[in-house]
This record gives sequence, structure tokens and C-alpha cells, in this order.
Amino acid sequence: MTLDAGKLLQNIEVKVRGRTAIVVCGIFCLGFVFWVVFKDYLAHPLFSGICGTGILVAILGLIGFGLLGKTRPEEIPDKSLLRVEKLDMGILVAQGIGSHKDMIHLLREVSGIRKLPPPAGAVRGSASNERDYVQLTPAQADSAISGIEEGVQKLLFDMVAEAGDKVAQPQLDAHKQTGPDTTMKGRTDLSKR
Amino acid sequence: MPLGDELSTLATAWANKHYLVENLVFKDQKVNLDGYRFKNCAFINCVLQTHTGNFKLEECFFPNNWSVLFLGNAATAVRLVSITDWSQWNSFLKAKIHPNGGVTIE
Repeated sequence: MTLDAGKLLQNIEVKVRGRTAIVVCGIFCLGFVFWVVFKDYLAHPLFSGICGTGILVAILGLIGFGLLGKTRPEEIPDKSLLRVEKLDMGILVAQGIGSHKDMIHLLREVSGIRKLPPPAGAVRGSASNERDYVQLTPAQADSAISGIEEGVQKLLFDMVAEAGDKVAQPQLDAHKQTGPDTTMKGRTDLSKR
Repeated sequence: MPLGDELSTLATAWANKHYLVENLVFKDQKVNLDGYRFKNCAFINCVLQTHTGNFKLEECFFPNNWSVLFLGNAATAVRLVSITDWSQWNSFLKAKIHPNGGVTIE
């Protein structure tokens, strides 16, 4: 296996801004002071020991601040959804999707799945026989819709979870057409219409 | 994972998955079909609508008045269909109507 530096660099993305910048600069400064303090350790071991310990604690504190600190508003990625309707091309551009919950919300919007209206009844038998219809109370209807909504959310969640595995596989197979022929020859004899 | 890849994969997966809704009666409602597979359901005086055509019906019934509203890409497909000769359609492209009146569209 060879290491391609160019490809490696393409896959490395470093974002140093906001709190991250403060933490990184702080660690570098403290590291420099740490080096200065310990450079002549033999000349003043007690001073170096006390200062070195303090600097180490400060470094750990900075790292902890960076990892455990509450997310600031500017650190939350901007979310936007651009839908190109005019061109009728179905182009969608999504940015700032930082969680499965956001992805599920986006997928639901994109897929067009809407909440169903409350059902008037349930079918106990065949829907072809109206005598098999049982009227539902408003509470039962709401319960049915709530169940469907939960199921849809779970379906979407599972799909998002599976997407990671599928993306790793080659995409070519997805474009192979299977199933019956759906082609039909056009006849545009409009005079008959 | 790049967002574009994930969305593309999700879109492909969504086209093959539908949430099953069965044994329910909808009456005097507007029902958006997209994303669902309705099984043994009845739609009484309902307006059915679809944007994508991504739905399935299995042994469903449409008593009394009902109508369908084609929107978005589904409307585009219907416009194309409107200039074809309906008699040339093969069975796969036609809805299956069962002896008891049930309709299956897969």
C-alpha cells in the first residue's frame, strides 16, 4: 500500500476558528512556556516542578474547556435548504446537517411524505364490504395516526442508519434496471382526442 | 460521509420503502399517498394526491366520489401519458382491478 500525500491532504480538513482557535493558541503558548521552564530544570528544580505542574493543569483545563464546554451559537452549523423549483429539475442543496434528527427531518421534507388525516374508521375484514367498517372515536383516530407517525419516524431513522453502510458499496449496481419492461410506444394521434 | 452521497443513498432507499398503512377508512379527507403503502383501505369521498408517484395501493377501495390530484413530477408523467394511446398500455402499466372491486397499484 502506498501513501499518496496529495490524496491524504485532500481528506484532511482543519477548521480552526472561534473557541477552537483560542484553545489551540493557548496550548501552543503554554507548551512554549513549559519548554522554557524545563529548559534549565537542573538550575531551579523546585521552580520548574511547581510551574510545570501548573502549566500541565492549565493545558488539561484548556483541553477540557474545548471538549466539554457548552456549544456556542456561532459553533452550530448554519442550516439551509435550497430548492430549485423554477427549473423543475428537483435540485436540492442541503447544508449544515449535523445530526440524524436533522437528516430525518430533511428526508421527510424531500420525500414528500405527509402526515395522514385521521381515519374515520377501521376495517375488520375486507375493505370491499362496507359492513366490515368500524367507526373510530376521535381518540382512537388520533391514536392510529400517532402510531403511524412513530412508525414513519422509525422507518426514516433506520434508513439514515443504513445509508452509511450502503454508501460504502459501489454505486454502479444501483443504476441497473430490473423488473418488467415499462416502455411503451408513443402514438400521438391527437385528432382522436 | 459526504452529505451528497448520503442523500443520494437515502433517496434510492426511499424509493423502495413505504410505510404500511392497512385496514383504515378515510372519509371526506385529502390524503397524500406519497411514501405509504395502503393495504385493504377504503377512501370515501377523498381527494388523493401525489407529488412523486412513490406509493403503493393493495386491495384498496374507492366507494362513492373520489378524485386524484397530480402534482410535481407525478403531474409531468401524467401529461406525457395524456398524449399516448391508452389501448397500447401493457398490463404492468395498468392498475390491477380485482373481482371484488379492489384496486392494486404497485
